[in-house]
Amino acid sequence: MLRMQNIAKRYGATLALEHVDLEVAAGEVMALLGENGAGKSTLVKILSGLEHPDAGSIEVNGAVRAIASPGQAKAMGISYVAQELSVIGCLSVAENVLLGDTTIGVFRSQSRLARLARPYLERVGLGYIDALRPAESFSVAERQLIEIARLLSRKTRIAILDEPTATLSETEIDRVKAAVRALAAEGCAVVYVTHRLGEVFELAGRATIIRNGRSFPAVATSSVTVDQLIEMMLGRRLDQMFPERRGGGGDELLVIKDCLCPGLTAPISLTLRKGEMIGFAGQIGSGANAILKMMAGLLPIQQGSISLHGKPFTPSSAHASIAAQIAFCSDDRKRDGIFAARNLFENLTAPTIDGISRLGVIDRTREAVRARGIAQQFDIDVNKLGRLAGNLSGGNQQKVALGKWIGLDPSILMVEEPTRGVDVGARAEIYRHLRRQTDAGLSVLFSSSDTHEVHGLADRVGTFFRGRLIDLAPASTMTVESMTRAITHPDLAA
Amino acid sequence: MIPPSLSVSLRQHLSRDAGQWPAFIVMIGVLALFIIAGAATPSFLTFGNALVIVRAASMTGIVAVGMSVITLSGNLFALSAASLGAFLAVIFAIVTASLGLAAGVVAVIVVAIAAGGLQGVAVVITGNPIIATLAFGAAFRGLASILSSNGVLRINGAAAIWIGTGRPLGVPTQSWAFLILTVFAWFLIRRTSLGRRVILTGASRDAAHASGIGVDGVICTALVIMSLMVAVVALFTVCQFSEARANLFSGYDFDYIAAVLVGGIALRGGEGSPLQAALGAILISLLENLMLLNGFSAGLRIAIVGLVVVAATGTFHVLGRKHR
Amino acid sequence: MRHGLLVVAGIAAIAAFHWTDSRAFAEDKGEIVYFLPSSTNPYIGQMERGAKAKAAESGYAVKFLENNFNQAEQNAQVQQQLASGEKVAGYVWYPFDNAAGVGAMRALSRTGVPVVVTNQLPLKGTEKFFTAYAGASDDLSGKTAGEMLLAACAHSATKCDAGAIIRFPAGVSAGDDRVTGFENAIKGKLTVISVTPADGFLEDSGYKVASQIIPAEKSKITWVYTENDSMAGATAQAARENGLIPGKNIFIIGGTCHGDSSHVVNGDLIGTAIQSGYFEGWLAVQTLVKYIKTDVVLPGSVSLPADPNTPPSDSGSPHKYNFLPNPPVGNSQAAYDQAKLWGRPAKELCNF
Repeated sequence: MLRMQNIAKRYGATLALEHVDLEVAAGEVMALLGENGAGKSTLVKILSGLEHPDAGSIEVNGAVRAIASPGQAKAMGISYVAQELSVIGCLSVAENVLLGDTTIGVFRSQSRLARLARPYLERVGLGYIDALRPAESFSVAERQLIEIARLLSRKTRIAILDEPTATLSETEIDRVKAAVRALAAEGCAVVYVTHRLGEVFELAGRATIIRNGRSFPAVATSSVTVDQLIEMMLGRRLDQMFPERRGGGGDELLVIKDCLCPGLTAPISLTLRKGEMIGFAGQIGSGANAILKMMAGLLPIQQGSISLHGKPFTPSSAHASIAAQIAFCSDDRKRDGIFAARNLFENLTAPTIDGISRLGVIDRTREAVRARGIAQQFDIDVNKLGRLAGNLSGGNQQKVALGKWIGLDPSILMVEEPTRGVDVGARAEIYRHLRRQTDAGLSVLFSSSDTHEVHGLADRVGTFFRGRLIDLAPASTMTVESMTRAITHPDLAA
Repeated sequence: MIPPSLSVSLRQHLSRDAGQWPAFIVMIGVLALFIIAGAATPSFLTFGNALVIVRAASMTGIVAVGMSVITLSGNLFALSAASLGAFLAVIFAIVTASLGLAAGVVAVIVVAIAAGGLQGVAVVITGNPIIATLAFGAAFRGLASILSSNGVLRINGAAAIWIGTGRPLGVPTQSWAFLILTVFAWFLIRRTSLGRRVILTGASRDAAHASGIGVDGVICTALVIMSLMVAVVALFTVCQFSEARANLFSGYDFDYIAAVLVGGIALRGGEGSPLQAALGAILISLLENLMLLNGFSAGLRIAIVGLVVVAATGTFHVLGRKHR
Repeated sequence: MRHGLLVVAGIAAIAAFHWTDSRAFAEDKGEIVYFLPSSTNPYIGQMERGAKAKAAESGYAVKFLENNFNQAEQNAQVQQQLASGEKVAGYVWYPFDNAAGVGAMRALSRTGVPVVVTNQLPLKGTEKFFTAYAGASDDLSGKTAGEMLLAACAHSATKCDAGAIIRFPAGVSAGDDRVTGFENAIKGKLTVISVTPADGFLEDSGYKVASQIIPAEKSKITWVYTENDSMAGATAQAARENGLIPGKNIFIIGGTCHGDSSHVVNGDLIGTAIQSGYFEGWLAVQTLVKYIKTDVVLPGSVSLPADPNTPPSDSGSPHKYNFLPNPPVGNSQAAYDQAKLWGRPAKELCNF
């Protein structure tokens, strides 16, 4: 169905793609893997007509074609689903599914559109939803499925899905996977870009790996292991994903007693020690991040008491929490984690502007010293501090989002989804940095929908289900399986 | 902590200002226009005419520099600047006429700070700088009209006349003020902690809030700065002509905004510097001077300035996208 | 939110105050509805005073419907006024944009109530849509200025030939008419180097243009006509800054007294002429009332006499075109202090 050969693309001095081949058959799901910056997104842009290759050929259905524009790509049956969904919130589900369909004619009553959209929605497992409601009233996962239903309605022959599950919880992911299978079953060639390697084995028959602008011959997923895939992507051996734990149990730092806040259905008590890392596992909406948000001053405390350093503390606002040296990184890095249009000097010193100023004037030497100090701690290239944060890879952005708090000398660092949108190589780095901070005496609270991550990283693990803390115990006493049970069906947990 | 090697620190100092490129483009535009025009128009390429151009840009430029602080903070524009100017001019004239120049200056500063603060609160509460300042603009114009009883308010005094018409070192006071305030605003934005807060708030209001920056205070401060710049212009204008009226500066809001846009300051905020607004004002003034001397008809002049604004905004937008 | 409400309440209170204020003179004979741009413009503020005074004297109430210098808004106001079904004694129509307001003027005329146009001389071909014109003659204003300039040139020891015109913004028909009147008056005697529109009507606008044109044309320029005294005063300032001495080697005339008289009385300007907003409003109402009384319009035009003491009589019928006089005023303190029109001193009439 699709054969791209010898694709090369240069942006100024940087060679984004040097030599890439990609072949996908009709009805096949081909995983496209690679670290951030390897060239995946450039390849995807070429395929969807947003960029033009400097060299190489593209065959669609056996004929050599040039894809000059997104419109032309669409006419060839190539559809691209970006990470940022293009579902239009104020339009109804049916309108979204049939968006751009010119064959329907002028008589577009909502009920007729709903009838026409129905079969596509059923095939992606959305048969139960009311197609007349606006799309914005549905969850991210459901909107993702609506997007796939649109691909079906357009009789898409080549579909490119860019990290469709990046922001979803595990049960939601299953639904998306089923929809992707349905898409392939219709004879569509699917290019599936993901960072979640587990999905690759379940979904894709083969995987194409890109590293530094070059592709490897596609490998059958049945003949490789996860570690082999990771090593191919990184080009080096992956010794261990998670850093070693070193006990982590100093004095009691934070004591939360019978606290309740929006998102929780039962009061929570816990104690965080100096140098300890506690991870909360739970699906999106399970309340795993509620305590973090409450401590950050973003959610009101409805009952209970908190003591910090042995003194009562009320996180009444974001200001109050920062003043108490509690740092919080939300899971929406693009929105409030970094300043994309500003350089790293400014990003890394944003929480401590007064600390780098004298009489209200910024001392550029202090600023440089502080930024460079953080950069060294977090393995950020010191020579790249003049770059804009938005131009960095997801992993480096996350290092900036975390690292900026170090200047504040926090006592507690709270992180939601520490590795969302971070590729597999940088993930290990983030884990190492977080661990290094706790080794230095900082306490860390994090929440994640990735059970492996919580189990592998945290000293103690909390599991959440429907606003309840199911269990809080040392990670060594838990398995990933028992945790997965706890966050999906706690009643079945032992 | 870490002894920075000289080469690294130099490179960083250069690269951290890499975001300044729109200013260079405008600067090149100014120079190019100067040279082209100089070749074609006699009496254009003279020091005297350069002074004339800067003088013509001064009053618009000072407000544009203040306006740029609002744009940089991510709040687009204040559409109340012209009306606020008339209101402050009327206040200045009334107080100066009865209590003297010093009292007039103090009154104008106090009222400007209050007006800026109130508008800041309104922008924060409504979340919409355009609507909030538009409403305030109507109120300011109305108040100016009531306070002046729609008449002409006169002031007298040698000091006021010197402020309005003096030429220290052969350069008009207004041009000095333009120069000094541009440098001041540039320093404020690029080098002070307040300026850093303004820029970060503009770059991402959410991220600024999450980093513990008091974004509401930053927005109020930006409007106060703009109001103070407007106060300076009101003061100079009243002093120059020894009078104030309620309909002063009518229709000037477009000029202020045009200068900010032609200067290439990103509308989404967080990128650029007040220097660009000043250069934008000079570029427009240059263009107008050129057209004036070449006898372009009024319609053509307005259309060309409009097209330049559209072209500049479009170019910066496209370049900005390529840049990231 | 609360602040927003306060602002709205404040504006509403101000609006209500103005509304009741404008109705304060209600009497039995009926109401005159006066459409005009915003009185934030001091000239228009004067106009309202004159209209109100004359209406009260004649036993009418007058309601001002102001627009914010926007013809679309004014047209909408006409629609609303007509839809209200109010009984009206007559309309005064001061369109912001003459051409774009013809439709609205026609709608007013169809009610059968008299319509007196003021300030903007109606376009040719629209005679059926208004009863009479009563207001300034911008042509006459330009002509007066041209004649005063010629007289000054005749007595000048230095060269007086080429000069520049700084006019009102493009599209302001009063600006067109004044330039035409001026150019006709000086035709064959003086040369015009350039006609440059300013971006406003006040000192700062005039200064902006003059400070650029004068240095560029310094060797040629011997006079500047600016259409009003505000811009003329600013031009005198710009001339001084460029080493020219107004009244000696450059002659500056605004032709309509406006704002600061200091440049007239100190001789910077070669003189001025009274263009009174107060009497323009006054005359519009007088014309309307004279028509209501007699139901007759005399054909042709009349330039009302510029008597220093006596205003035109209330008796008789108006002409189709009734022009306000533009009496010249000399450029000395004594001449300025003595100048009067229709019983009111220049000092008062020019303060806008």
